[in-house]
Amino acid sequence: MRTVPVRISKKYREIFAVKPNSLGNPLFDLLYKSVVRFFKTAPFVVIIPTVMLMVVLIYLIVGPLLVRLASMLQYGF
Amino acid sequence: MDFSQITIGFISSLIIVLRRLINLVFFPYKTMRKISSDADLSQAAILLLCVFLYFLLSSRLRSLYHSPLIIFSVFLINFLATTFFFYLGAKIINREGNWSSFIMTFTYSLWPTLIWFITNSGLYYVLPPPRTLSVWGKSFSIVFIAFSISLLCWKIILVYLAIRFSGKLNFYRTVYLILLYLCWFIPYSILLYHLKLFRIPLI
Repeated sequence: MRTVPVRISKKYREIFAVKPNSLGNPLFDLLYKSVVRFFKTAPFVVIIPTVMLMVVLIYLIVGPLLVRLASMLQYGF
Repeated sequence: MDFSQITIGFISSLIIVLRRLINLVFFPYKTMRKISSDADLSQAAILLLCVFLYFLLSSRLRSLYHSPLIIFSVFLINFLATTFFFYLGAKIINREGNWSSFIMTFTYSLWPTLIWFITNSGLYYVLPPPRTLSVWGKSFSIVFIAFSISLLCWKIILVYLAIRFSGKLNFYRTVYLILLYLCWFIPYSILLYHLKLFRIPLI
């Protein structure tokens, strides 16, 4: 009888410790999986450009309020 | 256990912590999954020590209303209350999870918060606020806000993964627990602000 190496069985236990997510609707599942895969590995590759673009857009809308928010946050520690 | 064994244990935990902190940047999912099954609380102690050192540093940069020890004690109470809340929630919903797993994953999820607070303290020293409406002031504000939101996104990812893996909960239940947590944590944060303990809670 073949035995599964300890390292592999340990890895399998780790992977299947949590059931895969199901959102109750195939469309939601598809959306969830397509979004989440960007966050599983190196999320900053997606986060930094998106956030930078978003902040520039917010600046174009609210202008000096963003500068005030930065000053306020700098006092936040 | 003699002194050399304690030293070796501490150094190996320190190396694991450093490796995992780097891995959390590149592989948050896999790393959090691994952390949730670990029970080495000395790693959590190392990270909490870093938080204490940060409070000592910030008290030197800026005069605080309370001593760093009091602020750290309040932080520790907040932290333990947070982990216990999620542990209890997971236990009620799922009848799974153990508190030490929540402590492990939540200490690692302190990493983005700690980076933000340390950077903010450094910037407060190098470029003291308020920011002006000059080109440099505006540019700095845009970069600083983008940096803060990026770290917040990372923090949300890590907290979500911490609850999901430690409590073995699905997406809806994890989000539900986070919303329940915010129901008491937001008023509590306002109370801490009025008590001059935290402007932004370190959690």
